[in-house]
Amino acid sequence: MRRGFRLVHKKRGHRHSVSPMAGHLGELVFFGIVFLIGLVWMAAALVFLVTPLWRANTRFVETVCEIENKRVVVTDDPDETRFRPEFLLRFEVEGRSQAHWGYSVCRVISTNRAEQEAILEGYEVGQTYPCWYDPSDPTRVVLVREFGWFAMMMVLGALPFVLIGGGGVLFVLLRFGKSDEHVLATWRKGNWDRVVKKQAESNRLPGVPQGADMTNSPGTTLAYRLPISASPTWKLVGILLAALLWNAAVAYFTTIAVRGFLLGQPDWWVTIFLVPFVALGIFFIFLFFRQLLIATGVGKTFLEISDHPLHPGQICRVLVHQSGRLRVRSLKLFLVCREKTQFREGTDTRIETKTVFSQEIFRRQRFDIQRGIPFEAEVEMAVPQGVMHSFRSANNEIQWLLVVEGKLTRKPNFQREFYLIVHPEKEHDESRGAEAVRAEELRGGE
Amino acid sequence: MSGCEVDRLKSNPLKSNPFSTRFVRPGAIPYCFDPAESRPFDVDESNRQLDRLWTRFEESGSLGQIVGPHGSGKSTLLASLLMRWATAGKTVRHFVLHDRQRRLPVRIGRLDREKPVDLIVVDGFEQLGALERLRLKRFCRRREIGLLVTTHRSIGLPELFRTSTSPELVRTLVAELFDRVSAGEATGQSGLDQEGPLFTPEQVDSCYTRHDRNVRETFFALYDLFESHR
Amino acid sequence: MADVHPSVLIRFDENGLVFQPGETLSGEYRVDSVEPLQCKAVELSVLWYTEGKGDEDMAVHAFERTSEEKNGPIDVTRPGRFQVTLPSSPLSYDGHNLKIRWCVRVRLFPKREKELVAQKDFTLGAVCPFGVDGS
Repeated sequence: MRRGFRLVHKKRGHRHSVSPMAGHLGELVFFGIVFLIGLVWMAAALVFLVTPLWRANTRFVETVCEIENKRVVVTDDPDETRFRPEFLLRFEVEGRSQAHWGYSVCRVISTNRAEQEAILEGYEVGQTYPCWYDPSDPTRVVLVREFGWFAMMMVLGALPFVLIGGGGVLFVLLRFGKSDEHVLATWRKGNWDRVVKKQAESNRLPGVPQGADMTNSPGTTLAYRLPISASPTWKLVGILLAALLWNAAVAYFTTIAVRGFLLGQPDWWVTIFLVPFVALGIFFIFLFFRQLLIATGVGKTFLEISDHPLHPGQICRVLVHQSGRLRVRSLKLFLVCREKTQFREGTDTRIETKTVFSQEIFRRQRFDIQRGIPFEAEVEMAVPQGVMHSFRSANNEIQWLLVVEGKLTRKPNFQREFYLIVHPEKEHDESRGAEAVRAEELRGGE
Repeated sequence: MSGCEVDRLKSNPLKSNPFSTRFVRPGAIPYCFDPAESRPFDVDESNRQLDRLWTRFEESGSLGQIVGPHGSGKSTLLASLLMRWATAGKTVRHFVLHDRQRRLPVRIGRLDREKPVDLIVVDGFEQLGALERLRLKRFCRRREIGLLVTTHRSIGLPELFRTSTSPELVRTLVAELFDRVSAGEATGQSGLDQEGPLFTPEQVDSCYTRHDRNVRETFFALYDLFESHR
Repeated sequence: MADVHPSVLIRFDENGLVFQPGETLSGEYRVDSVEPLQCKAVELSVLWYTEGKGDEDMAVHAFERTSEEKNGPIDVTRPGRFQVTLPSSPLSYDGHNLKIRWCVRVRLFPKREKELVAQKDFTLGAVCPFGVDGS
């Protein structure tokens, strides 16, 4: 089947290492180094830039000083010469006259001498100006207190290293000792695998997923609350991380480009190179807010069901609960059956999902949901007679789901899926009795 | 139905879809060397071709690569070769690599530790890292073990065979698949309905072109087409 | 000209092909051979397998192996009987990308010839296929 572009690459096999332990340790070392670099960088930015700035802006005492002298301090490095302005400021501290050199807590440094001399030109020797000194150390005195954009950029620049390195270390530790299939299945299938846990090996119902955890959550109105297949919160967190990392890196380089323009030395190559990256950064931000709207603005969706597992021909009740502050164009509930198959050949792994059954169970149109007053509707659902039960084997699955589809005004549409288990008809009487007893026990415990 | 012509394919109900993976995976159907032949899947002719390849492989110092694009039959040819060579009593270690698999699942130095190996076969050789490929070639040369690989692009080994596809090949394969499945189901299973075509050779060609001459993808598309006619 | 190759035929009692969970599947298998056939082992399995677009999965519900070593000489001129209680799942299913099929498979291991395999499919349960339009 022809495939279009995929943002997320399909699973294409699994990595094999000669020694998984060595592989994990190598990854741990790599991410650990990245994390340490980020930590050290961030610590240095905080200690040498942000903290002094903060102290200057919040703790320094304001007074009046007289400029006795001014100079450009020259620092000769092997590759370049740098300049910074300094003023000799005379001021009083608790009645005692003091004179110290200072200008800005950031110690503005530039390779452009003219720029620094222009700063000196802005102040006259012998004139008085407001200044601020550190009460714990009056030798630290400044003539200007500015918001350190550079300092913030330095902190943000360190952030990707901290997040990637820290995230990588955490990831390696979490998957230590687990097979690739276990890790992939956990990450890719979301809550479904946690709920189902493993392929049913029950002698009673071979090939039918057990889904024991699905009946562990009692409902408030009906017997069970169904677990959602994939939480929108995790998607939000993922997009947020991606947006942060990307935009932090882009912001850093953008600052460098902008500084070049401000200093009259624009770097056009860097500027042009940055354009697509900035565009992608904006796209990430847009994605994040869109997902934020879905996850928070849309509110929680949950379903409760009167019976579980189900069987063909069974009639049960389903409660739909939707919260948020929404103007709803339509809210629909579907009973869906899907086939999922996995095939590996050569260097390809292809996973195909096909919806083979879809039945609308509930629909409500053009209504509003107020914050604090969630929408609820209880409906009757009939599993059609003679349909196939849930099935799971190593490479093939038949899944039953309830799908909530919401179309909204002025907000993105959403779709949330809740897995069900349908047993074969014959097992109904045996299993239902046991589940009903368990449901009563759980609700009695509330 | 026989030969390379697919004039009118049989309609349903065949119980099994001829394009199911069990019928089209490598080894399920022999490699078709020449779809223009009157009997392209003749066992004796196929064995002759495979033996010729084996001779060429030995002449090139038991090193060789099968080169071809995605879905052109490299794994199928490999499966046919391995089945043929197994009858000659060769001990083969066969690895199928998937994407992102940069190393063999076994340490190269241990490849022949359990028992002597005549031939190492790697399906998807270009997936391996450059160093791993070099180590494997050196290992095989030193131990005098044959090395046969499949790859999408040449990686410097002697070229044993270059697989390619054509509309004629696909039509031949489709006809063969239908023949096999209907023959298999003839033993006590459902019969065939002769009325009306299932799909035409033009549809087969169109699928093939739409999927960039990838036979595997073409088969998946034909699977869907077959199911839609049920 | 008669086919001289031996073959194995499987037959279900009452010629049934559709069975329900919990029912007993019984039948016999017979070796059709012009020449007398000496076998070192016979295996009979009742199993399900998947077919379709995914990799095949299979599982054996019942398995019986009769071998010369353990059970004495095998007389293939007499039909072999089998009887098994069918499970509740998985039911036979004829979907789009996935089909689940049940069968009885007999594998014969002659002493001097290649092994013979015969398979007879049957349907477990009465699952209605979904419509093309997803209904």
